[in-house]
Amino acid sequence: MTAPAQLAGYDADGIGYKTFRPDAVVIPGSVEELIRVLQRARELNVPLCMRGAGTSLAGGPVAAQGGVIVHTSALRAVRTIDANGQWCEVESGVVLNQLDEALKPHGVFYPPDPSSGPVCTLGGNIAMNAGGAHCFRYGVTSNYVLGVEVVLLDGTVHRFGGPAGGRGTWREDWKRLMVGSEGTLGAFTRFWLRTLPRPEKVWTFRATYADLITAERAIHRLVAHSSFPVAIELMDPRCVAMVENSPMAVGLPRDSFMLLTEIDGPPELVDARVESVAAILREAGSQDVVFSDEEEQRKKLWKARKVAGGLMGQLSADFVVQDAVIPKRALAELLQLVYDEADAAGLAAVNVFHAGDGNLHPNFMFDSQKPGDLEKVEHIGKRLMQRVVEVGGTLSGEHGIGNDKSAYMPLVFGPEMTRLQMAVPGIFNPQHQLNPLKVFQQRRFVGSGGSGSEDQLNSPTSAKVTAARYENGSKPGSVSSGTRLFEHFLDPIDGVLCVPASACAVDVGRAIGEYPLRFPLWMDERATLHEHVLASGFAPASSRFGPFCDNIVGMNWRLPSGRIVRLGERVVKTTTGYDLFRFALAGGTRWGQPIDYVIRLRPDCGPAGVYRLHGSHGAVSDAVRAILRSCWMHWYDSIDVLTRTGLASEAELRIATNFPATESAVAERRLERLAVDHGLALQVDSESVPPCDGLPDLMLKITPDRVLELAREIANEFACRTVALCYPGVVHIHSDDSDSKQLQSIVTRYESQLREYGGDWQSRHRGAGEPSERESLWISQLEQAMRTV
Amino acid sequence: MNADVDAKRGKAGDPANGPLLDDSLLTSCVHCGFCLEVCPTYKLTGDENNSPRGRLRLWREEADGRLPADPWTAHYTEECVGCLACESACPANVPYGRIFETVRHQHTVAGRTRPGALIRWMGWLTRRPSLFQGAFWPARLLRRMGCLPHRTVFPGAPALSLSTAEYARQWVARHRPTGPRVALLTGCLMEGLFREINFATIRVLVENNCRVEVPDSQGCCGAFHEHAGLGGVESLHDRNRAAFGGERYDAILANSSGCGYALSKSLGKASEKGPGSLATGERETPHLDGVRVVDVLVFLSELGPKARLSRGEKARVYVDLPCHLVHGQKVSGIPSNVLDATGYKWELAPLAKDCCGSGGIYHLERPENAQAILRSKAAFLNDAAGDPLILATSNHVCMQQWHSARASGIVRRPFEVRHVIQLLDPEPS
Repeated sequence: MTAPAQLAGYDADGIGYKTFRPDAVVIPGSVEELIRVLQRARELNVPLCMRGAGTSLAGGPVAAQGGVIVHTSALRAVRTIDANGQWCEVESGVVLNQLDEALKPHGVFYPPDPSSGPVCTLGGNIAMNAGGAHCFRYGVTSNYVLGVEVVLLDGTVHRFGGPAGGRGTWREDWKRLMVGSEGTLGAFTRFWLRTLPRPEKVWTFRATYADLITAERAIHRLVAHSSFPVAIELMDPRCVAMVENSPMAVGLPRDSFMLLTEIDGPPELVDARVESVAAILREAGSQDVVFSDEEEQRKKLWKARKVAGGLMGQLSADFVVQDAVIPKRALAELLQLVYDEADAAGLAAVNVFHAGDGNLHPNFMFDSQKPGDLEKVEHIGKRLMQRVVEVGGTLSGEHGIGNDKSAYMPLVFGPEMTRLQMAVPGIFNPQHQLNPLKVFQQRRFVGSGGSGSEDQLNSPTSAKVTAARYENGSKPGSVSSGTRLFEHFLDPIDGVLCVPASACAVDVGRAIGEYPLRFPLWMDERATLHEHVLASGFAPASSRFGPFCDNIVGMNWRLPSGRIVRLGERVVKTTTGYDLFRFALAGGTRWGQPIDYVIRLRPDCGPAGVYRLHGSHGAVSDAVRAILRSCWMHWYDSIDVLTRTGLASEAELRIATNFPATESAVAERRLERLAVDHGLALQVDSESVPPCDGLPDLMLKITPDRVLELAREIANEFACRTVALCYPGVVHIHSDDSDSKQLQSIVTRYESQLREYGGDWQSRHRGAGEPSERESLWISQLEQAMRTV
Repeated sequence: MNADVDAKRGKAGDPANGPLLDDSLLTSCVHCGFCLEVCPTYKLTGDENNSPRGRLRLWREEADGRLPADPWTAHYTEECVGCLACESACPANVPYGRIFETVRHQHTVAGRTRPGALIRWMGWLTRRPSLFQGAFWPARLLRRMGCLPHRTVFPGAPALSLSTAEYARQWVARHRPTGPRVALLTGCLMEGLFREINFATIRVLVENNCRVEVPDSQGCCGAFHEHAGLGGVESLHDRNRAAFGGERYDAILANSSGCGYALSKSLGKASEKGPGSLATGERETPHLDGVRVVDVLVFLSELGPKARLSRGEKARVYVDLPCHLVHGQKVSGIPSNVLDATGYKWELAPLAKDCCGSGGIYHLERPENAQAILRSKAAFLNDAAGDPLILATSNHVCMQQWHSARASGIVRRPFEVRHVIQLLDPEPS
C-alpha cells in the first residue's frame, strides 16, 4: 500500500502525537511473502520496520526513517498447544488475549500480561520484552520465551531454541539477543513459549494509605511475605483524585495512595493466606482494606487502576508515560522529583505503577499543539532519567526504548558500552536497515552505498557527543560507563545481593545475615555460583524460580580483552538495550569471566520441607503429571525425580517446599492424598538446608513431558545416577566414571533428539561443539567487537 | 472536568464538505489501539486503515488539512460496518459512531461516496410511510405464499393489509390491559416486510398487561439514512419527536435494536450531553419529555414477562446479541429472564457480542465482507445441538443476515431464525 491515505493509519504507535509517515505498508499473507519482502527491501535499499498492533509506548513500530512498515496482522495462527510439555507455538501476529483464550481450555496460561493484552501481538511483546502487573511474581517475557524463529535481512530463516527452550542447533544462545531487540535484528515469525498451569483461585486486595511512608511499609512487607503476592500496584493521590473527580469514581479517599495486591494458587492454599495478607495491609496503617475472591467484586477493586489510563486520554490532548525501574528505596525521592518538575512546568502528572518491581509509570499530560509543552515534557524526562540512573535504576522495564527514549541511552551506556551494544545489530543488521533510529540514536540507515555503523559511531553527531553532554550535566563520574560497575551490596528491600561469582552458598548466607531472605536455587556447598552456572545453569528449585540466568540480574564481567564491564542491572526487570547479559552468562566462559554477580533473593519462610515419595517409575511418572497439571507454582520449590544406579525401575519423587509451619500442614495433606492416589510411599523430612545432589557432570535440556523417560533410560543404560527436574525439563547426570567417555556416549546418543526439540546439553567437563560456518562468522564478529572495548 | 475536556484543541472541518464535525471529537482518540481487535473489518483485512484508530487518523488528517481528500479515505469509511464495538472497547470513550455518521454524510454530500440507485430509492421511499407499505405489499404476499424473494428474506406470514397500528387497537380493545401505557415504533422494513414480528410484539405486550399504542404519525427512525450517509435525518427526527412526545406514555418501545438505537438518539437529543459526558462510560437512558426510550425486551424484563411452557429437551435456542443493542444502546445483553420465559433451553451463541456483518444496509452494500464476517460466527450451527435448531436475536436486519447463511452455504443444515419476541408469543401463528 502506498497511497497517502493508506500510509496515514500507520504513522504512529501508542504515542499518537509523534508521527512518522512510511513510504509503503506491506501486510504479508504468509512467512514466504514476508521473506520476499525482506529480500526485496534489501535489493531496493529501503528501511524496514516490523509492526504488530502498534500499541508501543516507546516509538517502536514506526517508520522513523521512512521506508516500509511490515504489518504482521496476517500471521496469527496459534500452531500448537502442548499442555503436557508446557509449551505452545505461536506466530508473531497472534494477539496476547487470543493466545490466552486458546490456552484456557487446556488449563494453562502464558503469564506476561501487559495491559494492552486485548490487542498487542506476541511479536511486539517479545520485541519489547513486555511485562505487566503480574510479572512481579511471574516474571517478564524473556523468562517465558523458549524459542524464536527469525527471518534475517538476507531472507534466511533461523530457529533459535524451540519447545525445550535450549540453544537448539547452535553453540550460542542467540534467542537471548532476540528477546528485547525491538525489531532491529530480524523479522520474527514464530515463537515457542513456556506456559504454566492456570491459577485456580485469585484473591484481590485493595487498601488506601494516608501517606507514602505507610504505603511503602505495606509494599516492603508484601514483597518479603510468604504469601508471594503476584502483583503489587500503587496509585498516587494525584491519580486517585483524577479518578475520584471523574464519573468513574469508586469512592476512594481523594488524598490517599491506593495499593492493589493479588495472591493466586490452589484454593486451599490461597484461602489459608488471605488473613495474613489483610493483616499486613492493616498493620502498615490502612483503615480501609477490602478484599474478595469473587470475580465481579475483584473487577470493582481493579476498576480505579484500569480506568486511569483512559481517563488521562480524556482529560488531556496528549500524555507521555515513562517506564523507569528504580531501587525501591528511592521511590519517595523520585516521586517528589516528578511532582516538583511537573509543577514547575505547569503540567499535570499522575503516577500509577508496578510498585513491587519498582517500575515507575509517571504520566505527564500535555498538549503537543501548544508551543513549548513538548519541550517541557522532554526536559522533565531527561531530568528524571538522569536521577533514575544515578540511584541505580534503568530507563525502561517493559515498554522498551524505541526512538522515544533513545536519547537517554548515553546515560546508561558510555561510548565503549554503546560500541559493545552496537555489535549486536552489527552482526545481524549492520546497515541498520531494520528499524533504524531505534534503541540507539546512531542507528541510522545510510543505505548500502554508504558506510555502516562504524562511521556512524565516529561521526560528529554520534553518541560520544551526546554522552558528553549528559555527563557534563550530571554529577562527576556518576553515569559514565567506567564507574557503573557493581560494588558488593545487599539491598534487603529489593532483595538483591551483589557477591563475587566465586561465592559459595555459605558466603551468600553470610552476606544475607539476619534478613529473612534466601537465594532460592539449591547449591552444592562446595561449589561456587559460577561453577553452578557452568555445570548446568539449573538447580532443583528452578522448577519454581527458573534457571540461574533468571536469578542473576547483573554482573561485572571481564571481557577477553581484560576489560571489566557491567552487564545487566541491579533492578529486577529491564528492557534497556540488547540482553548481552543473559547471552554472555549462557555462553559459559567463551565470552569472558564473571567477577561479581547481582543475585535475586526471595523470602525465606521457614525450614525447607522435603517430601519423598517412592514407587515404581510408572507410578511416579503419573504422580508428576498430576502435579504439573495442578497449580503447583506457589507450593513447591522443586519437583524432582531421582533414579539410582541399577534401580531404574524404582524412582523417588522429591518435592521441596519453603512455607511457614501453618501452610506446611496444608501441603502435607495434599501430598498424602497424592501418595495414596498413586500408590506411593510418603516420607517427610524437615531440614534447615535443602538436600544437595552434588554438581552434575552433564545436563540435558528437553521438554517437561519427555524428561522422566529420558532420565530413566540414561540411568538404566549408562548405569549412572540421574535427577530429573520435572518442570524445567532438565536431566542432571551424575557419573562415577571420572573420564568423560560415558558422558561423550550419552551426548552422542541424545544430541540429535535434544536438538530436534530445541534443547541442548551442558557439561563442566566438556566444551560445546563446533559452530556452523554461519555461526562462526557471527561469533567472530562479536569477538572482534569485544576486543575493541 | 468539562472545562478540561472542552479545553482540548479543535479546528472545524471544511464546511464545503457538508456538516461540521466538532474537531474535539477527532482529537479525543489517544491512539492506544484497543479498538483494533474488536473491529470486524480489521480482523478481516489486517489493515490498520480499516480499523477505528486508522479511520479516525485519516479523518483527522483530512480535517487538519494534512491529507488531501483521497479515494482511499472514502473506501475505508465505506468499509466500516458501523457495529460500534469499538465504542465499547475504547478507554477514552471516543464517540466513534457520531463521528462516523457525520463523516459518512460529508462524503455523500461531497460526492466522494455515491449510494447505489436502490439505496437512494429506498431512502426516498422511507420518507413516505404509506407509499413504502404499499410498495412492499407484493413482497408480503410472496412471503405469505412461501416464496422468498431474496436470500436475506426469512420465512413468515405477515398480514397483507391490516397495519400493526390497527391490530394493536383491536387487540387492546379485546383484552383490555390495565398496566403501563407504552408506544411502539413499528419500523419501515419491519412493518413493510416482517409485520408478523410487530403483531407478535403487540400480543406479548398486551399479555403482559401493557396498554400498547402505535402512534399513526410516526415515521422512519432515520437509521437507514444514517447508514447510507443520506441527508435529511433531522426532519425524520422531528416527525418522531412530535409523534412520540408529550408525556403521554410510560415508555417508548422499539422491537428492533437498530431502529431503537436510532430512535433513542433522536428522541434523546434533549438530554444528551455534550463532550463533557464522554467520561461517563455508560450512556444515560435517553428520554423524550421525561419518557424513556427502551428496547421492548429490556422493558419486558423489568415487568417480569409471562412465561411459555417448557418446549422440551430437544429444541435449542442460540441467542445472538445485536451490536446496536449492546454497543449502541449499551445494554448488557438480551435479559436472561426474558430468554428463560421463552420456555426454550437457550445459550448465547459463540461470539454473541461480535458483529454478524449485517450493519443496517452493510450486507447489501458490501455483501462479500458481510458474508466473511458472518462465516466466523455462524459456522458453529453446523455442529450445534438442537432439534429444532433456532437462532434468536432482536434485530430484523441481523435476522436477515443470519438467514442468508443458509443460502450462502455457511450453514449446511436447516435452522430457524426468530425474533426473541416471537418466542414469547402467546398465540404464534
